Amino acid sequence: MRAPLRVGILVAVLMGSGCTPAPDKPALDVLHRAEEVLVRDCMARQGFTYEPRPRTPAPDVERFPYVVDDLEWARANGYGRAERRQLEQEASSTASYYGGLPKEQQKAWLAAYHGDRASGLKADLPFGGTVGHSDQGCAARAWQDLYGDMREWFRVSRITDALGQMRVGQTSRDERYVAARKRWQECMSAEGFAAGAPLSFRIQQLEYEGADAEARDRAAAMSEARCAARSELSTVARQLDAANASALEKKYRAEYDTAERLRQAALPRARDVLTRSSDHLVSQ
Amino acid sequence: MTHQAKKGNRSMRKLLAAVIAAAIVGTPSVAHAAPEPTAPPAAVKQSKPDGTIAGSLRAGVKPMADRNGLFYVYSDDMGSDQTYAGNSTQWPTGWNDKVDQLWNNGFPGSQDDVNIYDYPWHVGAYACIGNGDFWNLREDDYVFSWTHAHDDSGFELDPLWETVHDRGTSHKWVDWCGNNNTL
Repeated sequence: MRAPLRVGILVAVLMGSGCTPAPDKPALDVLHRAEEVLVRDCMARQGFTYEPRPRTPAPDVERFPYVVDDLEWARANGYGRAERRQLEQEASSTASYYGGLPKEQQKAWLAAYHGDRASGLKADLPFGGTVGHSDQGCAARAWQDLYGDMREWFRVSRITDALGQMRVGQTSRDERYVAARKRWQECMSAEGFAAGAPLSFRIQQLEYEGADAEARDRAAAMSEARCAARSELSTVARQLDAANASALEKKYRAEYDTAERLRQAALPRARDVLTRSSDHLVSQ
Repeated sequence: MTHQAKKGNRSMRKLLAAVIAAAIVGTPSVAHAAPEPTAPPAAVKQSKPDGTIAGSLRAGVKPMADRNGLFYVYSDDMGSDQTYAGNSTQWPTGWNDKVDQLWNNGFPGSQDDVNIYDYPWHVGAYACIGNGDFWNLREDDYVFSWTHAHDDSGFELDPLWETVHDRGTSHKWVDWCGNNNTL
């Protein structure tokens, strides 16, 4: 998953928590679309096809990283199966093109996109490891063109992405969350569903592809939302998430500030790219 | 317990996991719990036996289409890569428990990140390498940062915060890094 999606998940949670300044979603959409156009143009210059992709294949995870807790959304969308399917279709053209290339051309396509194996870009992750990435491919070139400093953008975006994962981990392991999740499980059982944990239950539901899948999704998702309220899992998760987000933001203030500064500086460039490209990729 | 004894114990557990996994291949999927994403290093979780691994194993045996692009697993001992377009339930001898570098040169799109597991069949704690990323594991700084928990498994297999270096055993392509183990 590319960086904008990771940021999107982070943003969704932070905005939901209501406690931490976060980049606004429309701005992220603009940046993502511009980055995709820049990658497309870079690939085209090397003789390859690349069509801009949607920002996320699973918007439901952005909306509900812990548990589906919006009953009306669940009633209308189930688990977001239709939206996932639409986004998959939007992302399929480049994959189809790539799949039809001879093997050697596929290697060349990947080299054009990712660059080589060397780690020209580096970021020290907060939970260990120094992740590397080539600075030679079209992905890195797009970061340079958009953010003006691919090295700094890679560093702070990878770190803040990792902090988003840490925050979800901290929340999910908190004993108050665990207790609420157990109440949620009991509630789901009473509703007729054997659910281990909300996200895996959602995944399990989405794996079913029968003709009545969407109707089953809606029934399950509505039970999930009702139980999220009854068990207070929704409230507990949001409160803990907000507290953990706040603590991490204080600890890694410099990285968050730098990421936001780079985004703000990139926005005019992104709008210019989109204007010039007349690209109309549907935003997420 | 001595280092040798610990290592032997772990090898036995990996072998047992592989045997149990092989025994249940083909069984229908059942309800399973999500992997539990991890807390920061201060909350180190110690390994302990409790439950069975069936649920986790079933979550890992879903047939997967081959990926476009490749995941590279390099071993200093072997001096070469194993390259994978799809998933692997167990890396071969020489790479299993011997990994020194990882490179995700996968096609960007759905399922373009890779979970790396300590145990065969995508069991136990895992780390996740993003699309296009390269990890040099030799400094022993990458750790298994996500794990299963609170499922009905009876066999605690998560060496949370243990280093990926010389421990990685299997991998699976996923849609995103994080709480995604059943995807």
